[in-house]
Amino acid sequence: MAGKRAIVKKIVIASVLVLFAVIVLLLNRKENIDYKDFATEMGVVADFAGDKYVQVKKEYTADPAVQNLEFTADELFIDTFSGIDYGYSSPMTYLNNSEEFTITVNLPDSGLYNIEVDYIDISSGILPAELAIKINDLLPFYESESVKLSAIWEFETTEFMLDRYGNEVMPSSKKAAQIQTSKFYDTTALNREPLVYQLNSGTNIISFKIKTGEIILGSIRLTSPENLIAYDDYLELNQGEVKNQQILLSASELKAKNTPSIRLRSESDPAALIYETKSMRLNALDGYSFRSGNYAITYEIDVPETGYYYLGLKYRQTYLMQMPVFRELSIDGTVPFAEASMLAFHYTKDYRNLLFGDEEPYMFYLEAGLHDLSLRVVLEPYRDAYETIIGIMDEITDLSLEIKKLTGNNPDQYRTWKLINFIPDIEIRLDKWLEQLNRIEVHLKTYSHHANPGLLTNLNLAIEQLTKLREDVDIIPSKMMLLADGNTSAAQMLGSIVQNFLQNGLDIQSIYVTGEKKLPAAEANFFKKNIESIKRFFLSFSKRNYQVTESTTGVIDVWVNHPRQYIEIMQIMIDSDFTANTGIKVQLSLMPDENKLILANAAGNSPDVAIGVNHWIPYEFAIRGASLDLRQFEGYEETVGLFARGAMIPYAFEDGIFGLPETQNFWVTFYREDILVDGLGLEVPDTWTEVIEILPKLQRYGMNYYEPLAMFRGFKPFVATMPFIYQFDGNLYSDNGISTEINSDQSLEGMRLMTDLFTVYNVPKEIPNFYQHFRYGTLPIGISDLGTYLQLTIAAPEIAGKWNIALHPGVEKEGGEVVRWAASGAQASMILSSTDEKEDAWRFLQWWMSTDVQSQFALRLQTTYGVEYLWNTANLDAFAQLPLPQEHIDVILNQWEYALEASRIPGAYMVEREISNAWNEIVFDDVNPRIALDEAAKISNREILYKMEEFGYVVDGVVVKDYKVPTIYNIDDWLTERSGDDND
Amino acid sequence: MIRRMNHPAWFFTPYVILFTTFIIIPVVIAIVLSFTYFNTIQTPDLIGLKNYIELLTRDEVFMQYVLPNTFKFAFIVGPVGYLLSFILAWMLAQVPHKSRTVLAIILYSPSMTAGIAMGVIWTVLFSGDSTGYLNALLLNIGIVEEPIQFLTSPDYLMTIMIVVSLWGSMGVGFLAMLAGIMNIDPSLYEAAYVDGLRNRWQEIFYITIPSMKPQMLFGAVMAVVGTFQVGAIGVQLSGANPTPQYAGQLLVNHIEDFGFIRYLMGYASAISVVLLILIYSISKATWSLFGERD
Repeated sequence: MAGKRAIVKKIVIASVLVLFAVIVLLLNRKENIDYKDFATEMGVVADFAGDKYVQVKKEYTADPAVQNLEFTADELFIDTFSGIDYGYSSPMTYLNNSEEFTITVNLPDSGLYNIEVDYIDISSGILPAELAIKINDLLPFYESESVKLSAIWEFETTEFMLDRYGNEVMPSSKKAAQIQTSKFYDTTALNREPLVYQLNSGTNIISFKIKTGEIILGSIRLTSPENLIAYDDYLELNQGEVKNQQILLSASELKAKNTPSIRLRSESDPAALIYETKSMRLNALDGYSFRSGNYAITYEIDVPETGYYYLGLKYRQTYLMQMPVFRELSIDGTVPFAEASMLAFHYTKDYRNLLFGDEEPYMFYLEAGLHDLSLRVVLEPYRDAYETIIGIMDEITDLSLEIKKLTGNNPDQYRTWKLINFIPDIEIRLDKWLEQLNRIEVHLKTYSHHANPGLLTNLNLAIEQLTKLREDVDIIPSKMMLLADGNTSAAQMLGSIVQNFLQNGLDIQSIYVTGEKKLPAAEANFFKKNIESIKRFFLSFSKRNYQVTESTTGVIDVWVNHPRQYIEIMQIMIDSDFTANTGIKVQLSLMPDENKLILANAAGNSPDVAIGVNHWIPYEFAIRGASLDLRQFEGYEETVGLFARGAMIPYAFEDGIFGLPETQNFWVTFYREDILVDGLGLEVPDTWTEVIEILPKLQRYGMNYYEPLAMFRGFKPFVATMPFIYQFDGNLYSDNGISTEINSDQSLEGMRLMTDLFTVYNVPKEIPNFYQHFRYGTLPIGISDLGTYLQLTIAAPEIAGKWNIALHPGVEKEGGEVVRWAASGAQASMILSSTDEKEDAWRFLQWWMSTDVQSQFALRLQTTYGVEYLWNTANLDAFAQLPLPQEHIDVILNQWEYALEASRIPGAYMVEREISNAWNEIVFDDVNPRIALDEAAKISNREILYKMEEFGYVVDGVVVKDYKVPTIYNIDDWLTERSGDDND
Repeated sequence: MIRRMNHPAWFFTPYVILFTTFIIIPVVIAIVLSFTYFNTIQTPDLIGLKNYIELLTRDEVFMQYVLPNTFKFAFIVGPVGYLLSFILAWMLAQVPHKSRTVLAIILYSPSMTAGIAMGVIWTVLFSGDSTGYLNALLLNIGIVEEPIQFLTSPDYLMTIMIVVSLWGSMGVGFLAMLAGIMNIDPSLYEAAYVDGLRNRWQEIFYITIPSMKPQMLFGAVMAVVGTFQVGAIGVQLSGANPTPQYAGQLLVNHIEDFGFIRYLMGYASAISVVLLILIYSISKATWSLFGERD
């Protein structure tokens, strides 16, 4: 009986086991099937709205078109343009922002086409016109959503201007008034060839939408796709021999470029075609400015006799470590043969001569006469690597979110997870990544002359880390640092390498068109080089660029606290505009250090005007009688009307205004759309209450909110603390200025929120670098300023388009208004009271801050040095014209309606300091906020009283003169001009 | 002519000139300014002893934080740094010549690079971000739940200042002591062992220290004086002057606070005169402790 039972038991157990095994096998099989499905899908990056061009192109069934079709403007539009004669024979039409038009094509057979247009860009902005092209109302591929028509940019002058030290000054650029013909290209240049569209037989409607820009359009042509011949066939086309001629062109003789950002620079290389020991000559093309996809430069050469020539460059390429960058060469707008479409420029630390070619230099057939040589940045060789890595990064982010959902934010180090049970395909995913990354690495290495290119170090490390994780996937929860968190994670390393692929800079010093293979030496000989550097060393004792000089009469001396490049442009603008119109001479000097202004003032040789000083300096000078009240001047009202009201607060003292804002900062919410909105489904918070509401969800995924108090380590300045006080209707000082109001009920409420965020809601207390955390996604939302904005636009291409800005969070008042006071102070200008030419100085300041001059300066800065040089002018109208995305400008201008600066009174620093100390006490020592603020108020009041006594407002503890405190509530009193008589 | 050239005055003139321009004159100016109200922009006004009276009677921060902090800092970093210098110098003296040179450079370099290193290494190491090295380590091991604010919290700042200063305290004093130990005649030790010296401890106390008294004195003075003069460290670490809740406020920071933040140069000069007196009396005290009594 017992034995029988035991047998039954055994059978049951055995069948359970078998069943289990079958299930496991089935499950495994299912996984295998999944994997196959996955693998076929793998190539398609499903992240984007449309499919990528590469995929779409593979699926084209039609043959290249045999016949070209042309549509003239009068066929497509009713209105034709005839304002200016551009020497264009066909009709033209004017097209503006957000206009749309369509072409209807009836085709007997389907075919592949390029689209080519004749146009001229006439917008005043610096960004190229952007279009979207759809076929039959469908986006044929992702890249078609945004294609660009760039303008032809050329230097204002080819004779470079000299500054007052004899150095050549970088000229600004302007658009050429010239019709150009261009095909549509992939904006990223990851696909080199002009985009190919498939049109089916029957009716096709091609629609064009102008997203931004202003163009005059000529004809549109549908052309048969570009078909490049091989070099060997090219040689068959023309008979001739290599000519014994040599043309040397300096890179500075640039004829045209397709973006204002490309600039020249001065290279102190004695072997350069243009070189002088004493002064700086613009003799090379700055490679960093010539790094992004589709950037192109054009040189004009004059070929003396028809025949074959070699083409070459003297170049330096330090931008991709031990890997080549690629350029497409075209002559008179066409690529001569297939090999010239992707010329490699290998890594070199010193300038090197190169004749384009393989082992033997290529021969190019040139007719006698003028020809345009163009080089365009193409990134196609890196496309596969780029797109695959981007795909893997997204998948890593997904996986890490999945793991975090599972394990929570701070996983227990001693708990072992069986990840495969929760994420069954985790091993498959890692295998797939490793396989792809290894393939990419092998492929990329074939480009390089080096066995282990430095550029790929991060790729190797990422592979190593992923391999380690693959060996035992169960350790991943405790090794998230290797996968996706922090800057040594695989995801981050992949991110940094991906950025590099898009930055293909190339320095160029000269262009060679030659029949001889022998070229001028790329490097000066040893003796010449050394003698030159010794000469320059001794010259460096006498040359003083824009250095402060003794103040002179009859000339307005202006000290400028901006970089040298800014001063060069300012001086040119002043000379050609201000001095030319008014006869007032202005001399700019570079202010090395703001403290020098104070010392110069003590020594009695201060300038007439100081520009670009910190926004609290004018007050410090005013209270000691060293800066000039601007309300006495004619035109004061119009000038201050250009700025945000709150921005004027720091310059008010007694009843005068002692400075003008020059640049302005903004504090707004930055958020990651991909993580916050798409990933977590959260809305961007508008008020502090909403901020607090999203915190639990963020923190559950190991993310958090960034409040800029965390940026300031020990001492929390007004910039960070004041918004809380004013948003709750608090005030820093009492109306008579003799005491502080930081312990009022309103201020207390602000202080509560300011500290609760850190103590109760666990927002991080110290974040030295928000920008990095924002990129990694650990802080997908936070408040930050202009600096972060610039960093994100310029130095974070991997998240471009994935983030946005919104208004600073505020406090909702009765009636629904959300009050969002935030700081805005940046740099200021002032007139020093020791000036002899105060009327002239004011006229200068008035001219400098006027809308036209400010927007012209902003434009010139960007057309000279590139789009990175954003001028954040305090002039609101000029700011509105900056070439930023309109939605960002709207947010910033809206935020500036709540621009605010801390009022200044004698002893204000003590209030600032005590608020900071109170914050510290509350957050770190758990002191009750009421007690901490009362204590802070006591200490501040004592200091204010002491200072008021120093400046004569209080004598022996009795108030003898009222001190009117400027605040956002009463600043308007200061914004009117004063009539002459009460000016004492 | 030759007689004149040989006149002793020639030998000390360069010293006198330099010492006057760079030490005497600034000190005298500071003393004069300390009796004035001077806001760096307008001309100074004579106000008698008011600055000193205020320093002693009204300046709470000075009495409550700055003086105690300065003494605490100086009396820990000074003596401990001094002892460390001696111990390390003695240990180095025991190793062979080549490795000694290398090790001496390694130990000496922090005192040269301190300023930059503080910004780069220590702030990253102690960063209150969860990615700061120390915090990341503690979080990983599981000792703490959330990052500790080493540099902003007043509870930690002083300790960290002391640790960092000790790290960088192997300066000139250390080199002098190393030289002192190396210069001791080895025959002294042999003689002592013949006379019955039993171990290394006795060697140190009976031979090494007595034979290098001048260097010991130099090291002591440098250590104590040096610690009173530092100020940059707290500001560098916490990122601001004043340090949070004045937790790391030293005399030099207080001078900078008044001179360059509040523009009260007269008052700042008064504090620096007090600092001068402090340093002078402490170095006198050191002299009497370590100096030769003739």
